[in-house]
Amino acid sequence: MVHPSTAMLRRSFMLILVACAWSAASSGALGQDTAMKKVPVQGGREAGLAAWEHLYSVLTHPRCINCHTATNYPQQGDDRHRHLFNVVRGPGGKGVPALNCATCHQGANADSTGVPGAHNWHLAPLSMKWQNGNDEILSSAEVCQSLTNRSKNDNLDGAGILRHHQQEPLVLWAFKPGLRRDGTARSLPPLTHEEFVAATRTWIAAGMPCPQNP
Amino acid sequence: MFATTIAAQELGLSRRGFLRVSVTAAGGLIVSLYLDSPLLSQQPPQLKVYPPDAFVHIKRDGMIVIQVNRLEFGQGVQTALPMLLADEMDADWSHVVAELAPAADVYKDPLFGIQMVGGSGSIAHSFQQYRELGAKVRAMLLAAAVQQWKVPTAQCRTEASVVYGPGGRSAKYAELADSAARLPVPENSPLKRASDFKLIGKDTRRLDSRPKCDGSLKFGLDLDLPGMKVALVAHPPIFGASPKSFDDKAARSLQGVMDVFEIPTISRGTAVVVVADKFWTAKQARDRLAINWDFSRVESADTAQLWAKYKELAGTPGNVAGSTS
Amino acid sequence: METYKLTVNGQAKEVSTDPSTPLLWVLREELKMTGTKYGCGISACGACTVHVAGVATRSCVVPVSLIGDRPIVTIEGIGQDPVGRAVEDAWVSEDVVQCGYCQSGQIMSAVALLKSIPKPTDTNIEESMGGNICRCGTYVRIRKAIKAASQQLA
Repeated sequence: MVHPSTAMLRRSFMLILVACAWSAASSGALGQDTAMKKVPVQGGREAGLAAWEHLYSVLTHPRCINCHTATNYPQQGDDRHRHLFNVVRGPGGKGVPALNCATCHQGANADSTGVPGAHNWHLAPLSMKWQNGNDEILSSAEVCQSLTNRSKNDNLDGAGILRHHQQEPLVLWAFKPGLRRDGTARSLPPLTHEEFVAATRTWIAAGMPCPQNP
Repeated sequence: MFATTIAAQELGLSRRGFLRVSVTAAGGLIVSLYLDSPLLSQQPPQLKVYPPDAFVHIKRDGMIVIQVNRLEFGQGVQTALPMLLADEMDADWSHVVAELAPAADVYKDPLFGIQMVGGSGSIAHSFQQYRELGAKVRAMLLAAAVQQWKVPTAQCRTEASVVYGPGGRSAKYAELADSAARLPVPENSPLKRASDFKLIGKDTRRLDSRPKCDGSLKFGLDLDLPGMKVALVAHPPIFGASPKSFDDKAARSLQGVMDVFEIPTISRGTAVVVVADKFWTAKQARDRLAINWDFSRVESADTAQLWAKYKELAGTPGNVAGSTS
Repeated sequence: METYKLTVNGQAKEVSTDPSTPLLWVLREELKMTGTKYGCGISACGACTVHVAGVATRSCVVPVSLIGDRPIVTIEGIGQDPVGRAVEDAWVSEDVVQCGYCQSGQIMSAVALLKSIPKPTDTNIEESMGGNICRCGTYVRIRKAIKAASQQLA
């Protein structure tokens, strides 16, 4: 899949920032949960779709998509290679006995040894895969449909998705992913966590629109 | 070839050697045989003498401790060589304990002449040696029983660390060890026929499993000597490279780092060593070294060049490995 | 330097060390428990496997600062556990070991497997033990010994 260019993202993001500020001002302080209601947002559906592309750019970044695989294994690294050491998904996405995710991944980053960590490190279920069986990233339309399909997304509505993006430790981890074994910092998603949450609000406020399949 | 060599050794031994009985602090008895030093120095260099006492210790409680003249690294020699000795000795295998021998001349490889393991030499060079040792010890125990019972040797037999005699007599090896130690080491003790092997050639459990399964066996990395330090090497990334320069300020700033210096490598390059009091300190220090490598003198392999060189060498006279004439 | 109170094989231990020190080196150098081995330092080989709060854990990559109050069990202590004892006995009766360097980790992983899946299939064994490397190639006997221990415990 082709990612929108950073410059393009920045430009469209400015638009959304304005829209966010407007909707935040009208619904109260920033940081409150937003119920899914029809809030008139500048740009409406278009702003929502633009916000979605921002979300898509984060979700398909290695820090997120490496655990949203369609396969029996997680991925590692910016090149998203198959996770080394023969680790497998296991029945609950937590690995198998003696090779659990928790066998190496603890509740926080281990910067001195290069092992990332966060509470309850595990794979997203197969229903939340954002790649196909060949490790190819799914299209924006496909990922959007997956995210908004309540039979696949752990039955989350808009408010639930926002809460997930705001609070889930593994989501938070993606924006503070720690150091690699060579001491360099892991690469970050294209948005900060705050920008990611803001884009989520805009998208939800616009009714969680999904792009059409090309 | 081996049989003749060893027979000659034993001949010399039995004429000149004498027995000594020693009591260990633990209460066991070691069959001792001491050698006449002037005789040794007169012997031609290839004659080797293997006193049983250096290899077998029969303890009062019946345990038989066998010294292994090799290192064990999984190949099984710590079990195989004792099997040879124990089989000829008719020892109770369940009471055999194998120890890796300390550094001493008597444990040198009979053919290579140095104390070592390798070259597929352990069984090849010590097969006869360990069987001979076992046969001698058995002969001495038998002789001790015969002496005590005053019965013909032919009416006695040995099995599982017991000597059996006529009329229901029996004596354990542990009981006989004292008196056996006072007897001369036999010149030639006949070895078993292969058809009589109880251990050799049979499926046998290795002797070193338990300590390898409960974490108690010490490997090289587990050694902890007083005042010992840890050294880690920052190797050149390519054989033959050397540092143009390196910055060790960050490395030395860690508490516990003792020194940072260069050493030559076997590939004619130079590496940088960190010495610290603990592994993790040394590892962190090594990570903090900033090394500028000079690759100008590394070997650059070239397949075409190598082939040309091989062809050239093939045309030159070589060393004779062996001859059929 | 920080002080950490650890529970190792049921015993309370106190160590003072750099927080970033992996548990492996705390066990080996501070507590002089060398049964847990260093094979790679990058969680690739499994020789450093211990149990932390019952979960098989690669001690070479877990800094001691992340252990907290979770109890630790090492190869020196696993024999006190009935599953641990059965696994060690099976390892001996099946003549699994050769050089033995990987076996502390193999045993700790096998115990974790059997505690979770008492009657493991070949696939279970492959998946769970597939991260423990043995240069001597004792894999076939490891599999046999796991099955033997499983039967013995049944």
